[in-house]
Amino acid sequence: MMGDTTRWHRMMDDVVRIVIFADSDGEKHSTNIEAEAKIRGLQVDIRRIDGNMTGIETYLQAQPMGTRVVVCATRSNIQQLRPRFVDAGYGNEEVFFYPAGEGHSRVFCVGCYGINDPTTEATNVCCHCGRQLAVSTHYSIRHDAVFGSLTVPEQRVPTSEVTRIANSEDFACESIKH
Amino acid sequence: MATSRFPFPFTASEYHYSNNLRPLDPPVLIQVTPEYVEEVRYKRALLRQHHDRCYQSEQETMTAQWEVLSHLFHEMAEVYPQHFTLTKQDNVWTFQNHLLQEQVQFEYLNTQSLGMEPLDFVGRHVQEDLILMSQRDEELVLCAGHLCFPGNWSLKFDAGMTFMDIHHPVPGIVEEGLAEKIQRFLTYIETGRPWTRLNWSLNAGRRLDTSPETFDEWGTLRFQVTAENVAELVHLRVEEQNLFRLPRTQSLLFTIHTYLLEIEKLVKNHAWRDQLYDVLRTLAPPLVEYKGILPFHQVLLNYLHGERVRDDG
Repeated sequence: MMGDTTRWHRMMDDVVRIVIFADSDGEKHSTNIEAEAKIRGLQVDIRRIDGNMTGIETYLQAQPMGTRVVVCATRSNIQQLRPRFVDAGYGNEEVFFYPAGEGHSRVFCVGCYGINDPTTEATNVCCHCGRQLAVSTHYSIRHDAVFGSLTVPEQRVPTSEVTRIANSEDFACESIKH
Repeated sequence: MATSRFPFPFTASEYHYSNNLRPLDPPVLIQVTPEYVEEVRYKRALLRQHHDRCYQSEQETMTAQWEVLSHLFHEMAEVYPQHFTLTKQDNVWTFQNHLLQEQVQFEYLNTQSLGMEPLDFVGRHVQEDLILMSQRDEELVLCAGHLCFPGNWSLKFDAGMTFMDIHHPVPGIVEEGLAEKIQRFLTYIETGRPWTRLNWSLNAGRRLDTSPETFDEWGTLRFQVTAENVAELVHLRVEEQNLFRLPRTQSLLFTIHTYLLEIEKLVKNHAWRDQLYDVLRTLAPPLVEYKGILPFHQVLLNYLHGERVRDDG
């Protein structure tokens, strides 16, 4: 579950050992989680996410029963690792994903279902249908994108600003359309 | 619609998100109202034009979908025998919809004989939207849906999400732990004991299909509400959400029946008028924004207050 702190705290209450997987973007989160886990007297093992993570399934399968996994990483790394935790026999209740790099997600256009490249801006012009989107933080694992809602003229930023955004390199179009 | 049949959602003068589920009594999931023919035809038109938007399903939900079809057709024939008939001969079922003057025959559990998936099929005979959630490791996951009248949420985007992730946009509900409490409650719902709750918002314009996919068609009306048109343009939108545990697959079925009532009709009931005024006056700003009320919030408050003063005077 992404960003669900209540579940995370409940998970900490129930276990004695956690394994933290972190990439460079998730390092800060992993340090905080490690500190909190140690205060609670939990065993902690930290694994660096790099390369293709050969042997991750074997490592996970060798963990004692009741081990919980925390992943502090970019959404892209989370997306790649997620099926491998399932393959190693870990269910949703046993893995906690902590996405790092908020605001750098691809954007799902609800008007045309096109996927736009990642942006840090609050608004975006859909490269598939040309409509202006308000970029939210609502994230879908299935689409690996945050929700981009349509806007009406009364909500929009001035035209000159939209043009500037549309012309900037930040909004290169990805050729994915769902 | 007639105010006598409208499910007014407020029981107090303030509104906060809460676990407002209560047992559904009588345990009937489907309501047939005088708007049946108009709304079902509208649903079918939307499905013809925008099937991907209105229908999503995972392949492994087929058993649960047949459970939904079976339960709803049996209930409809039993509760509304004047409108629907279900007869069976061996494995061949005949469903008659007298309101639409239709009759269909199919082989139970044979999806090919229906011509479409069972949830899609039964959804075309009820006014309700139908959402199916499977239970996985104590989490609820949206695994299928027949959604024509969404309250500004996208089935295409939310399909496959957990209950918690679906509710991420609702202000405070996840952070304050309420979503998790509700999810835990839902996972304990037992077969044969359905629950119900009312959800509400305010719409500018009379439109059941407030999908985010078409927000640029209907969203602009929010900014066109004036003192002159507020009473006829703004509607209280109420969703009656019933929850039912399917006995075989243990999936949860949400049925959502959407009602709209013009403010000009609502204010004729003075208790409702005053309660709506009190709720809107004290509604937390993040909820005013989230529910899309912000552009006409003050205009509506002024109108409700004016009506109250006029009657008191």
